[in-house]
Parts: sequence; C-alpha cells; structure tokens
Amino acid sequence: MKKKILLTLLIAAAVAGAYGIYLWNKPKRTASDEEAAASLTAAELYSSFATDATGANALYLDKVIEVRGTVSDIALNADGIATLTLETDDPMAAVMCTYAPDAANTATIGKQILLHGICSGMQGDLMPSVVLSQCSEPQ
Amino acid sequence: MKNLFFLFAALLGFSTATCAQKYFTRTAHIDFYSHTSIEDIKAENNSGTLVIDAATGQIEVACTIKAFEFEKALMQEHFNENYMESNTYPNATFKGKLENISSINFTKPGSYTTKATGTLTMHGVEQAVSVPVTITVEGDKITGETRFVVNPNDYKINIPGPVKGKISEAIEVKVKANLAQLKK
Repeated sequence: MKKKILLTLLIAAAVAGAYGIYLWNKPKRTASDEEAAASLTAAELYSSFATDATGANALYLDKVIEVRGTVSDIALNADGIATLTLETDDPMAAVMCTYAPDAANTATIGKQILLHGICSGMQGDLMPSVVLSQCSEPQ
Repeated sequence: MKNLFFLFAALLGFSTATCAQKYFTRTAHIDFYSHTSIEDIKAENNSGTLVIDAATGQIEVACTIKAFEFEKALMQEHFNENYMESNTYPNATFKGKLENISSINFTKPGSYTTKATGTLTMHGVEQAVSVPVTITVEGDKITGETRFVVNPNDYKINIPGPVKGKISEAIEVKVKANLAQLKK
C-alpha cells in the first residue's frame, strides 16, 4: 500500500515537473502558426484604431491578422531584423511590421505586400503606428 | 526692388520653416532590466516610435506593451497578464520637452546632453519624470539615447508576495534610437 502511494506521488511529481519544464520552455508564438483572425488593408487597420481604439483593441489586440499595404520604408531594427512601414491614408500614420527572425522577406519600397502578424495595438499621437510583430509573408 | 525684398523675406521664412524639422523613428529600441539576487529579467522592444520637434523641443516616445519580447514565452505572458495588464493598458508613452533644444544642432556633428522632462504613462498611471538624454550627430546619422530607473510601485504595478523577491524595485530602462528627418 505504502509503495503504491509512493509510486503515485512519484508519478504526480514527474508529471508536474514535466509540465513545469514544458511551460518554462514553451516556444514563442509566431504569426505563421495561426490562422488570421481578420484580413484588411493597412489603411483600414489604422483607421479602425484612430476612430475607436478600444473597439479596435477588442478586435485585433494579440490576434494574428492579415494586412495588405504599400511598403513606404524598409529598415533593420537593433537586432538586425527587417521591419516594414506600410502606408495608410494619413501621411503621418503607418502600420509598422517586424518580421519573424527566420521569415522570408520579398519587400521592396513601393511594393504591395501581404503580411501575417500579431497585432500589439497602436502607439503614439504625433506619428501614430499600429504595430505588428512576428510577421511573415503567407505562402 | 520691393518685390525682391519680399521674395527674399519669403525665402527666408520658407527656409526657417523647413529648418523647424521633426526627427523620428519607428524602430526605437527600448529595453528594461530587472536585477535581483534570485533572477535577472530582460526584455526588449524594437518598434518604439520616437518623435522630436527640433523647433520646440517637443518629444514623444511611444510603444506597445505587447511588443516587448522576453527570453521565455512564459515570462512574456506573466508580464502582460499579471503585471502590466496589457489588454487594459496596451501602451507606454512619454510626452515632454527637451530642455535647451536651441543648443542642439541636429546638422552639426557632436554629442549633446540635455534632459527630457514630461509625463511617463504606463499601466494607466501618469508620473512626472525628468531623464538624461544624449543626442549624437555623426554625419547624417542622429542617435538619441536615455537611461533611467523605474519603480513598478510608482505605476501601481502589483507584484504578489511569492515573486516579490524576483522583481527589482529599480528597473533600469534604456532607449536608443537612430533618427531620420521627417520629409513631407
């Protein structure tokens, strides 16, 4: 009987331990793993945040979305990862996209592009941007 | 002759207007570092917006909380869900003024030190802050940098008892940005 209890406890501890290790090493989320929750243009995405930030946050925050837009700038960030600025209807506003570290990148300035990314919301008042991270170009 | 004078005045007016430039980036690097004897925690955000109006000294730095990346996905989850409550408070923003903006020449190579004084808003709490800023001009490359310390308590970021020892009360925040002139 004692042995059985001990064995059960050991198994429980092993399972808990394994789950702990799994949680600790849980891989980072990337946009390519998930189906897009919405598909829209960069201009539509920005105007949605500009007119009703709370509503837009409820719709897009933390969701993988598919965005179409014209590339107005390409830059490498401090980690050497490619970022794209997509035009909106407002010359001061943009959708700012950062590629996933291993994502293929075919962007050129002026090109229409389709990206999947995780939306982290809108930032800034002087030059607002809607931010997408872990972006990839769907195959 | 009078016309020429007006033309000259208009040109002068035009050129000072274009000098009243804005400098900006959408790839500002913002990181923070929490050091305790139990655990060191680091996170970084490479999609910050930074805008400086060179005429008025007005400065704005903004980022989304969810764009901070941690070494571990689990840390990122806890940071967003338990501490920053980023579904409710998705942004951190600093709005203020650079002191002595007229002493900074964005077209003349050199290193300029000043202070940015204004309001830092995060987790829905506004705090008046004043932080040291270095602007470096090297050829056509302009870099803005700051480093300051934030106490989570000041922003009502509630750290529960069991993990209190793991998260510092003096979190070091760094911002580094390469600025470009805004062309309109």
